Amino acid sequence: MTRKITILFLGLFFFYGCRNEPKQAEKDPELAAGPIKLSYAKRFTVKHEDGFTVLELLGNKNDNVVTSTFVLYKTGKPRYKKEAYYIRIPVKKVASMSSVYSLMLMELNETNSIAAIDNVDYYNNTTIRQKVNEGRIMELSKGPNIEIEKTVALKPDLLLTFGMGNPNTDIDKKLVQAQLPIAVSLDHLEETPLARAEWIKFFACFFDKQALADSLFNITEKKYNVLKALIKSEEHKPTVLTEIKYGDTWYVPSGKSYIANLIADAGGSYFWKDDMKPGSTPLSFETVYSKAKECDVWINLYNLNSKKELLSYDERYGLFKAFKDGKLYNNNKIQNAKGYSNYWETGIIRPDEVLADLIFILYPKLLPGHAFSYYKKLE
Amino acid sequence: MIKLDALEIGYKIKNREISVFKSMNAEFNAGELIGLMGDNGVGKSTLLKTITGSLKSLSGQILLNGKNINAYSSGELAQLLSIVITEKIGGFNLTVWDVVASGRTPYINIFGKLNVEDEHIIVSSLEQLSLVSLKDKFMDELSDGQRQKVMIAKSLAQQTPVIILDEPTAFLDYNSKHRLFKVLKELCETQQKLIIVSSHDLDLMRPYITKSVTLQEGNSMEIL
Amino acid sequence: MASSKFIFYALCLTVLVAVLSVCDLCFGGINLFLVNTQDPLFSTILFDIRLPKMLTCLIAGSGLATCGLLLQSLFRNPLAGPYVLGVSSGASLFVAIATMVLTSVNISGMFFVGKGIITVFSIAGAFFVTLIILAVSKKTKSNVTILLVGLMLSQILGATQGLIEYISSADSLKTFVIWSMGSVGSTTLSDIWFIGPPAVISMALSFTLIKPMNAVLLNEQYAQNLGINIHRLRISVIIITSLLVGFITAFCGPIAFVGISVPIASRLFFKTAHHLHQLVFCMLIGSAVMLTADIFCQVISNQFTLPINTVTTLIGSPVVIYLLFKSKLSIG
Repeated sequence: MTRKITILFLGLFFFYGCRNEPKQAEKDPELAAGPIKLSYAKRFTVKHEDGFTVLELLGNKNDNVVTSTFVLYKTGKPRYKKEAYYIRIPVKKVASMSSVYSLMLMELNETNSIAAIDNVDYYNNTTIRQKVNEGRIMELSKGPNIEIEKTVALKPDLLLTFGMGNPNTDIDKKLVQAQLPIAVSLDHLEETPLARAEWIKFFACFFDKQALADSLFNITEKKYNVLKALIKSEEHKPTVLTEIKYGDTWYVPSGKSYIANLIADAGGSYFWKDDMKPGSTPLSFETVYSKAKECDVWINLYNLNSKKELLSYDERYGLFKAFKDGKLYNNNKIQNAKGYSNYWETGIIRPDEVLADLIFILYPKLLPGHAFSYYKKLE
Repeated sequence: MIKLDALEIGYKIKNREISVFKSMNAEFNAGELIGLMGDNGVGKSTLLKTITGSLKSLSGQILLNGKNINAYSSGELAQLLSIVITEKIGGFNLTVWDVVASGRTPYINIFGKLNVEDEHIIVSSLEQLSLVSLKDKFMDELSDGQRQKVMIAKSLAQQTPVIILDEPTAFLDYNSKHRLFKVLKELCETQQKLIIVSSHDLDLMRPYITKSVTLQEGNSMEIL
Repeated sequence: MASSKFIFYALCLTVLVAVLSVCDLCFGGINLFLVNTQDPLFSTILFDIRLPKMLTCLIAGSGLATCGLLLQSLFRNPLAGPYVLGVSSGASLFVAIATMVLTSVNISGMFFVGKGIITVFSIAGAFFVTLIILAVSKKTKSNVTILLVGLMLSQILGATQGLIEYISSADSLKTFVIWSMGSVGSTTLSDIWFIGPPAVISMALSFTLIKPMNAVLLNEQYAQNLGINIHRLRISVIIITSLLVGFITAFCGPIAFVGISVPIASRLFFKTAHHLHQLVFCMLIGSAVMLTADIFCQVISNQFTLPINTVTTLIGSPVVIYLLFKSKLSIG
């Protein structure tokens, strides 16, 4: 049951958590001081002090409570504040509890720093799979929970994990007592694709590779914005439906969710774009159907592989226009034997590739000859 | 009417036979009130269960109207032989009427529909035991003596020539016990029924019974 | 209970169920009265979405209440019910096994025949557990023992299911997650064609058990003496409950409350022991409870859906507790 809920909720909330954040301008004066400048990400801050860097992770509340502070130094432990992790960089041994983090470390050429991951079943990446096979990378979370003893015994320089924004439940108290430096990131609550991709800068700080992260992100950002500009002149915006229902409930992401922003950037019209509530709304089939029955395109259908499979769950899915028109696209073109898509690996780091896929789905003429990176058409 | 012919009673547990009583021979006839006596564990209940067909005999046979009791179908047997046992009946909204009406089970269709004749028989069974005023009472509201009478009324409604009562006096007070035996004696005399009653109260039932059967250790069966 | 009184109550309940059915069709996520009847949306919402949901409420409510009544009478214990005895868990576990095994061997066309296979497994699971419970009931005379064994069995099955979910891959898990969260709203009109006839037939068959069930209320020894074949009665009850629980669980997921509480409420409210009366009352009350719960869900939250299991329990349990205290007599 725990596992079922975990999987469900990860699926549901991974991208759709949404918060009312203060305007970017309020934060800028602080950030301007350092060489790292954040343009999109809102769930962490970077400060460069004299001889050390301070990273702060923020909670999911509107007041931007700092959930943990990391003081990163190269030589000589600085004095900052008491409640902080003091970490000598570059770190050498990282336990990365999400495929997104692992792939970001690999982007930074830090594959060899990954000492442990959560569970290889979630990975498509061949390097990671091979290293786990050879026993050079440990798995710490084969079940629903992290294995405390193995993790403590590993003594990682840094444990990267994610949470729901509640410091009391996001991480096991025993790991905190073991004084492991733990970064509980809420990167999945970022509202825009670029904000999420920008987290590579957070991880880069631990390896003193800010410049590399900057250049990698700048390329992604540039490509993303070029693609986004392509659809500026399009008049008619195709309507887009996302997700399927779980049981009787269709969890519909709000208008300021990650996926809603992605659809908007790809020139799609999202049915719930004006819904500014945080998180996703549980709706009945009937409500979704009456609003979205004329949808042009339907994307992100759990991890289904065919139209037949979709109908086997509920044949009423066939009533939607997108189904009749054959315009169903799922983001699981490449998946491993366990059914996990690489969208959850590189797709997060390369939102430009995801955006290109979506633009091609909505306006095939704009990107002639485009080959899908993550999406596939359901037949 | 009932004949025990070299009967051996007992239990079978996983192909192992446990004999309780051997070589029983007796004959009981219509109009008789038989008192079955003996110490606990000597085999009274086993004998009654064997007669009603819920236990198989180990050897020998029981003849009912000249035919082996096992040769009757359960439906046929239900019209020949009825039982009254000590277990309390009640709950589930069961009323006196419901319990007495259940005596008609062998005669009615699968939907449990009673016709006028069935209802007439039920009423007359209630009348014979002076239970008419209680007919709509729930079984849970009755005294032990009244319950026992209801069960006998059920047997009457079942219209069987043989009625078997296992320890019917167990929960009753002195006066109720006497009243019960009076009723049983009357039934034997007026309706020519064969009634077999097991009881510890030898002195109490002696004036009423026509025959006593005493079971003793060592397979000795005394019929007086 | 006199026939005239029975017919009167049955008619009242039928009218209630009819009114509730109409209400169930009227309430929903969108206001149907504002939609033009010529608009295809109108017929889609009414016939593809709300009608199957209403019919599922009727089938699941009456079917589970029937199972509860039969089991409570057979065991002469008001605590018996398909959920308490582990029958629902058995169906649920077998469905889990079916989805895990079938997706892992990747039988082509699995999704096409999926619902059929899931149903077969669901029935097999229900049958399997009922058989165990009956085997236990032959070994012991104590009703408490039987219920405890059922409870333990239910725990074992639940834990096994947890274990299977734990070790299975996302690919097969998805099928099961989607299924197990299903409830009355997940069925479609073609599903109704699939479960409706067998459910109606099973319920109709339960009417052939009226006489033996009435007799067995006394106790098994009396019933046997009255010419009832106890063995055949037990087998009949197993088959009927397994079919009903199997079909309903396959399409609606495990539903806990209705099976146990409707027969209790019916016996507390309508003071009759006769199974013709109780069967009719239970079927109607079961339907009414499910419909009320569904309408309740729609009215308090016209947009999102609440799990029917939760709502039936929340609105039904206080009623049963009230009836238990109001009634002077024990029902079992």
